[in-house]
Amino acid sequence: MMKFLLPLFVGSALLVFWEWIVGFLGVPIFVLPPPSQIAFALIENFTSLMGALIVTLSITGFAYFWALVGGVSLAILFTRSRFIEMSLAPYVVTLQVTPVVAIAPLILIWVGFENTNQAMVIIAWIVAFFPILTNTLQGIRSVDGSLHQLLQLSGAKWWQILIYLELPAALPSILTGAKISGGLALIGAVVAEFVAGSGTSTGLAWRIIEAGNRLEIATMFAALTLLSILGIIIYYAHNLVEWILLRKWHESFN
Amino acid sequence: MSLAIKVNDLSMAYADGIEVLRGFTHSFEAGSFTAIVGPSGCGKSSLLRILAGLQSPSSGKIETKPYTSIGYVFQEPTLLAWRTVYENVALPLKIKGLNQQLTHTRVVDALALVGLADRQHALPRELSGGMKMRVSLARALAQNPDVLFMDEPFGALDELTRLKLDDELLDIWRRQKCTILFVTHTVSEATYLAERVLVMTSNGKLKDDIKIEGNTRNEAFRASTAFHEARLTITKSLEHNEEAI
Repeated sequence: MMKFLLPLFVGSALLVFWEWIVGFLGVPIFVLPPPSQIAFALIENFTSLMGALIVTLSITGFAYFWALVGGVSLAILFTRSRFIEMSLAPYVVTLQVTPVVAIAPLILIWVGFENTNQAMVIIAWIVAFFPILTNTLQGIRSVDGSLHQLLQLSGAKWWQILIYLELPAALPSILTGAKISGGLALIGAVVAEFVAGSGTSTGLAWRIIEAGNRLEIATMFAALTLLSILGIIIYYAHNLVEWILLRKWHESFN
Repeated sequence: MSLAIKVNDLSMAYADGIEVLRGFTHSFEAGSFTAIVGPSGCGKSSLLRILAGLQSPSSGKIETKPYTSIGYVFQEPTLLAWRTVYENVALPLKIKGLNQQLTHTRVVDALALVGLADRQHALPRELSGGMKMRVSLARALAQNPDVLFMDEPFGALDELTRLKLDDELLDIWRRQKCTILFVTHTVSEATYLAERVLVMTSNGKLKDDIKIEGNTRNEAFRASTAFHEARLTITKSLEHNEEAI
């Protein structure tokens, strides 16, 4: 109970203090609006902000989905064949270590400005997929050798070893990777929207830029609040999935 | 007596040149219980893995009857943490493509044999070390093995549990009539369980093949002169072994 009440109390106290200090010091509204103004902006622009939220959410969602599919598949491929891993691994790392903001304009040009949404999904995907790949690899490689031998003795085919042993054993690692990727997909989506600029993008990040340009700082904060809430929901959704899938058997839920 | 496994001049060396087996030759009779003892690193585990087909030898010949089905019990229980006791025991049968009806009968029988009929739906984490080892044994038995390989299976358990499981294993062996190859580093366990004890040298050679007299295995046997003499013989064989290094 304290786990919920304590942060709630700290948050409320902070909001009250914020409301008071802004009024007390006479901080201009275009520098730091009080929470009441932000709430008002949120209500006033609710429909348009929700539209923007859905745009950002769908970019994040698609990027995350393909990161999950791509990361896990590539990890399986790497563990099946040393040859494929040796051939591809350096390029995967290159893609990861090159700052995405630097590649983003290129991707926009290649995919074409008429397909900005696809380009943004690709940009967010690049940011998101690496943790899933490395965590899945780590998980599959950490499977106990005796368990492998056990299935081998039963004459298991490679796909049976994958389904019955490797994927379930790697599940905790995959979920850890997914949790990191979920947050990164959102960051990637925001970066993508920033880079894509006005074009056709109408997500939350774009609303932040737009509101900033118009000095509608309260609206900017409202969009920012929604982004934070989205990030928190993504994080706790992963915790929930972990709890559902692992609580019965994994040591982390002892 | 027919032979279960005939091994001729088996050698095993790893890529780094370390030899773990040198010219191992022995015939394992069908239905026999053989214990293999030796200092750590003498290749007794490698021998089991090679005989089970998990590893290829560098040279030598292994003859088994065609269609020999094998069971393998590892040092650790090696259970899949996310599967129940029942699902763990059933997995090898499922992989081999046995139908559900037959799988069910075999799993239930095997679990009854190790005294875990009432724990079918438990997850491994809910079991004690001894129970986990029993599940592991049940999983091997459910495959109706002609040959059962056991690699220091009870080594990690406390003394009391081990003595109990030793007796249960003998009971199961008499009923199932399978061939058992049992690796251990405990001389008294080898003496108590086996009909023959093979002593290996630290450089991977078969040194002695000691026959244990007597058919009954109980507390009286443990207290008998025959048991103590056999244990002494094996211990001496192992000690001379150390001097030879």
